[in-house]
Amino acid sequence: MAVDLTSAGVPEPDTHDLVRPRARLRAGWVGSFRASTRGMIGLGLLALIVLACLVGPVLSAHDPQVVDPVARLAPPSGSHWLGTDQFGRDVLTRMLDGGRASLLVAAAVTTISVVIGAFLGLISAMYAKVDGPVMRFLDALMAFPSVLLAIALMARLGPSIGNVIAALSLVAIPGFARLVRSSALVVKSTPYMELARVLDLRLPTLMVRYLLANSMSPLILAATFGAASVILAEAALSFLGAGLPTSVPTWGSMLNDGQTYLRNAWWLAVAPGAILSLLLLSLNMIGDALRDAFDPRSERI
Amino acid sequence: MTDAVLTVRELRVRTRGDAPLALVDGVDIDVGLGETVALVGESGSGKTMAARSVLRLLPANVELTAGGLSAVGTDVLAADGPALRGLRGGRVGMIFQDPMANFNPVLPVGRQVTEPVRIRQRMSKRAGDKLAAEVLGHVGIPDPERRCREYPHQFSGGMLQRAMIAMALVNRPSLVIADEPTTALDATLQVKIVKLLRLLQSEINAGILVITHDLGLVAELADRASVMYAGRIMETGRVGELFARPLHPYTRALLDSRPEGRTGADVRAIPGEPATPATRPGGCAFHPRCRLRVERPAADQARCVDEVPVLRLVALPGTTGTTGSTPSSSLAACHFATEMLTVGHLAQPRADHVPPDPDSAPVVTVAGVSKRFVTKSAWSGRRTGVTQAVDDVSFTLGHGESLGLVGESGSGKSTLGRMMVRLIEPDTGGITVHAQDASPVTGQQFRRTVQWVHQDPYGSLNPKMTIRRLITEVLARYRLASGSRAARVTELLGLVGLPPDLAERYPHQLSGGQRQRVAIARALAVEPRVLVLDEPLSALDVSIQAQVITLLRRLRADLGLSYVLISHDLNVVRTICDRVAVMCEGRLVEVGTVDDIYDRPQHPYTKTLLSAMLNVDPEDRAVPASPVTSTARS
Repeated sequence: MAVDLTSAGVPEPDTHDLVRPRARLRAGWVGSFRASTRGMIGLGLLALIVLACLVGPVLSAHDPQVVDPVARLAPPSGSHWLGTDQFGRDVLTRMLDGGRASLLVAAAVTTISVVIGAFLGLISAMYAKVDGPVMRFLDALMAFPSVLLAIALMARLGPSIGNVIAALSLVAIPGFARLVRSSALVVKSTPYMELARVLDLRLPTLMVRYLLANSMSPLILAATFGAASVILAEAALSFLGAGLPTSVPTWGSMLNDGQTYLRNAWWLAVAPGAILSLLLLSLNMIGDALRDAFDPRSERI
Repeated sequence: MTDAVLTVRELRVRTRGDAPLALVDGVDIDVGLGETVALVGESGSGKTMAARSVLRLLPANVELTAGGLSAVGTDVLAADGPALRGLRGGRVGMIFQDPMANFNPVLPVGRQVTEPVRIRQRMSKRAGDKLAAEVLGHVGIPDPERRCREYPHQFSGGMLQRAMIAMALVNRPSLVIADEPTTALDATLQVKIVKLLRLLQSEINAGILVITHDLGLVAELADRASVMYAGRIMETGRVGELFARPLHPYTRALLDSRPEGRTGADVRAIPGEPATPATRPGGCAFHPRCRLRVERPAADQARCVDEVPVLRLVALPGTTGTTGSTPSSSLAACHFATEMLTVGHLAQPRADHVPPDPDSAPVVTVAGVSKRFVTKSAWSGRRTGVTQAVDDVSFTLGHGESLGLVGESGSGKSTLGRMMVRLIEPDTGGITVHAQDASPVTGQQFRRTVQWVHQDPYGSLNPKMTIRRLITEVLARYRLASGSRAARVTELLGLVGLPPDLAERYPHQLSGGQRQRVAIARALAVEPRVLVLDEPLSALDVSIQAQVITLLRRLRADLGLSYVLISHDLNVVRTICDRVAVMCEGRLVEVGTVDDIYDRPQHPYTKTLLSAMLNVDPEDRAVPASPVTSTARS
């Protein structure tokens, strides 16, 4: 039985019936983030910390500022859950109260420096003419030790929460700008960027949907680590007396106070250290989940 | 076979885990001394996994089982660390696909080439350098004393591939495994590498296992070949018989889908995508794409779906048992392999494309275009070199015409393509694009007239956007189809043969062929008159190449497009183009109709390019078998 394959009519390659429907269609990065157990645990932990800092001091029986010389350096007990400090102030209340300033500074500095840094990085990558001057200026900023630069700024501006945010943001901007610039330069040389130029897509599209969207992963990671280091930098400023007014407790200043008494009153340093670790853990979990959510390729099939 | 250097029986490679995928599913391979055996297949066929199993060079997440696996007298399955190291780089040499990625950039090439020797025997630095120069000279690298001290980035791709071959052969192995040894190279270089491999093989009489997707290379180099599909061998036999009388429908379909520049025979695409281990259908893995099956009665068709065909010797009609006059050495895994013998060979004439009127109004006029690139030292800013990429090139592209731009890498054809889409500006000369009324097109209208398809389908779509958004953003940019954009996306996808539900996917969820179709759909969204296609098929599987060729021809007929097809593959150019322009070192050396260029080439460079074209006729090799090898085998 002869079969003439040359006349077998398969008109046009037809891929329709061989394409398998994907089991789950993505519902944007929000849906993808919510599907991540790790991300949701991190978010829950962060919410818990923020809530405790907002509500805790109000509910507490103690005032973070009231001095009680009799109960000096008391170990954790029923009345002082995390003990007292060298002036007899309740450590738990101070820790939760201090979290307000620390969290506010960390959130504000990270947001401001990421936004400005990303913008500077993007325009530097996009325009060769802007690149040189902007990058040299940022290099000059980076050449100063960051704490020294922040101290100098604080000395000029005077102690207030707004000035701390401004000084630390300025110090953090160059790092984010360099990071975004280097990933954006890689993206710029990809075939899809060249095609976008041939299609003459508009500048905002190129900057946001192409350069920024494809530089998100390292930026998110750097931002979560950045938020943690901001808290420590603020602590260093407070320790040197160039940060927030000494009357405002922060995790950083509590850590610094605590290290003096580390031998005989360990709880002074352990309490703010522990909550700082928890915060970092939650931020890293959120950061990882966000990075995966922004990258469609990481989706499990 | 007494002089076997590689014997593989019932090789299976599976992924570990709860739902294992069979990457290689019961494969037998035999390689004798002095023999060249090819494993041919498309992506996902498991050919590379099978070859890497020979040296147990497998990723950690797969497991290997086999009924028997012996290489150069060593039982690979039972071998311990020292025994395996003795094989790797010692009695078994390996040649990898991408020489750039397989050399350490911070060590001199000479030292790396002799490393397989130096780690096995003590050798003075002087003796090592002498050996390096000797082996590099032997593989045809000029001035080897100097070049063996140079670093990989100072070598060209072809020279580095020669060095890799030298490294694989420096211990005079009995078995060489070559994984896509010519894929990253230009056609003319491919021929040179094939020539070198044949020559060296005749010297050391090694067995070669070559892994490739290129049927031309198989015909050129191999004595026997096994065709793999979805982890199984579909057909195995002597190359001459395999190509002259394929017994498996898949082999036949592969041969038919390969553009054949020499004869100008038409391509015939295999429908669908190649099956991968994850998508392998039951029964015969090839049955959803099989042409032979659709001609069979229903009972036979069901058999293809239900029963896995075994690889068996095909009894030829008219012969009984083994006493027949034409004994076949081919084994095929097809229930109806004997039917294949009665199937006529596909020698379809070129499709019904009518070449455009040569006097039609031009859409693009390229007049005296030149472009030079100046390389500057990053340190001092001084000029370190000047490359004349394109040198005084002029031609016109007529309405509805397809022009092939061919040449080796570095000939300036891609630079010319980039100037045509205004990614870069020419230094002198001008490129004029004409509107329907012959007036020159400027500004935004230019972008709507000339569009570009990039060679890399994996990199040409923004990975963060769905296919729908990728197409919609183009429509939005030019305020096209406002109000009915969803319908227009569906229409454009349909135009390139993709289903509408694909619009919600991300690029990484598509195959290479599907991505290239999306890239074409995006270019078509602006309703251009001219497409500049920069190597649009080079990253695709053979069967998918034929699909895209068919698509490009249909689009040209339906939409009245003109193409500039940039390619180093002369076989592909002939199936699509009306005229061919040959570029060499930035200059246009010859322009003519397809028939003139292929049948009556004038310029010596064109003749060189044509002679380097690998075709699938093993009787007509670009590199004739050297007398040494043929006597050794007979």
